Amino acid sequence: MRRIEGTKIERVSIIDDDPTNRDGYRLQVEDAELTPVVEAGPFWTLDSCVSQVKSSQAVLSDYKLRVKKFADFNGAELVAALYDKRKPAVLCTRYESMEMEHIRPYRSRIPALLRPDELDGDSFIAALAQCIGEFQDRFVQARKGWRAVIQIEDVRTEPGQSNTVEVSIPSWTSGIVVGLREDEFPADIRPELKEGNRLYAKVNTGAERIEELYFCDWERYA
Amino acid sequence: MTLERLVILDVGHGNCAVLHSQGAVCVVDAGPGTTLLEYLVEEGIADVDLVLLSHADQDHIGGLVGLLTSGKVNVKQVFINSDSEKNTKVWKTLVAELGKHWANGTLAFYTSLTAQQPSFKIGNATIDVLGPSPTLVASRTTSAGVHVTANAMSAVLRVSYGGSPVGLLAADMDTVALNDILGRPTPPSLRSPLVVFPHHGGVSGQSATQFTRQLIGAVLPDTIVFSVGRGRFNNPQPDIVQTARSVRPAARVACTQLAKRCATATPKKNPNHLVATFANGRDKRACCAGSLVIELGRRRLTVLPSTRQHFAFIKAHARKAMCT
Repeated sequence: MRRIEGTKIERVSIIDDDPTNRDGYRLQVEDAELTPVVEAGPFWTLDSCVSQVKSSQAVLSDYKLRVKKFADFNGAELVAALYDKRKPAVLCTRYESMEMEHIRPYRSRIPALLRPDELDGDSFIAALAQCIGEFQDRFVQARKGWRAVIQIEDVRTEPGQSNTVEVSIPSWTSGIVVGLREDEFPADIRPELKEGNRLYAKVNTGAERIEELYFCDWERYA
Repeated sequence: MTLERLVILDVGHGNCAVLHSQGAVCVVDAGPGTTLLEYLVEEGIADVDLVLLSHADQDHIGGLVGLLTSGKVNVKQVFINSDSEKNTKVWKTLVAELGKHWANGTLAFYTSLTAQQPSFKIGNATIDVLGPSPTLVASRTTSAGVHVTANAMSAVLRVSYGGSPVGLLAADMDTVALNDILGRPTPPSLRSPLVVFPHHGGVSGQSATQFTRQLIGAVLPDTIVFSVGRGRFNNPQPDIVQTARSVRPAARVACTQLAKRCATATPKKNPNHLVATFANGRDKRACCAGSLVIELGRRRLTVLPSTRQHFAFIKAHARKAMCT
């Protein structure tokens, strides 16, 4: 048992469809001097998984859970659901660009995201501390959301898929463009999604890496 | 901490200083990112009386866009040298935001900041605009045929308190800007106990060392600040630091963040020498001096963190330090 940011953590549920990965995660949790609990799937619903991890004080989840039909949701959806329940949860992913596009809508509720090669006992404890800090309303600079101007650079139409809206944030690093799915935007904002238009959104503009950015609370530029 | 203070904020690569006197707040340059906003919110400051932007580069204006759109802080007046050649997204967005606030009647903004400007009074402090001259701003080239760049048009500001100079905020001034000041029939004094070195200690070579020699010789500072980050710019340049130290050997050199040339890695644990003031490098343990606080209205000018504590940190964490 460890006390992290004033919160007692002992059991950590491990969620992954791959037995080899599960074993790796188990060792890292033990390295953090915590007790791993490998959760058996499959999970047909997000609620059933959230319910199953109730007896653990924290969760470590892989992103890809659907591949072997281990679960009907991905790790980002799970970590975000646990965030709403104020249970510290860490997502592990390789940061592939396609993954990031699907993770971004949940990113405001994913405080800590680690690559497999970054995961060790120390980084896991630091990630849990970051989650617990946010539950106590303490956000690190990279995670605080601020109202910011968003510039629409392009709207790409992709057959059979949601359009991709490419945006930049002039107060952040204006040379970088972030792709967002059109269906992530509220319905009343979608008519504004035209090249050259500006919008406001809450963005964590203290972030340094594109992978960390989240967008929410969209507003018309008026 | 004294309420009367000049804060050189660690914004990473960029510039930002905040002057506090008698309850009035003046921001000089607004480096990129959220540092200025975080600082003001952390200090409980909801109103900024005056913002002076030296020139239109992103690393001097980016933070004001975030401040204006945040809805957390009211800005009353902004002065900037207009730059019609500037076509960046951040510049266009800043102009649009300033225009919106001006149209709403919540902000006044002025598109000239030259030596013609009378001194700004901020409580017991004053800010004098030493350069550029209006002639330089109006020129495309100097009399010697040199193109007048945005850096040459950087407003060079000297902060004084109770009539004594405190700090020279030199933005991105270059040789053209320095000659514009020193070449006047009656040049203003650049002397100041502290200088925020121009252009983050960037640009190297013979002209840079000549420029450094000339500038440091004119300012005669006791503290030379380099406002730098650990990103791609890799400042300050060693020849600039070396030249500055050769001209002013007893001066303290303080970088806001730990230069990559001084230390390839950042400390594993949080350092304990930093002031409590917000700093961009704080969370990622990238600070060297971090944000610097110059306490005003004391018999001697006090710059925090103290030289002793800062040097103890440098000794422990910057094996190849350029400043010692």
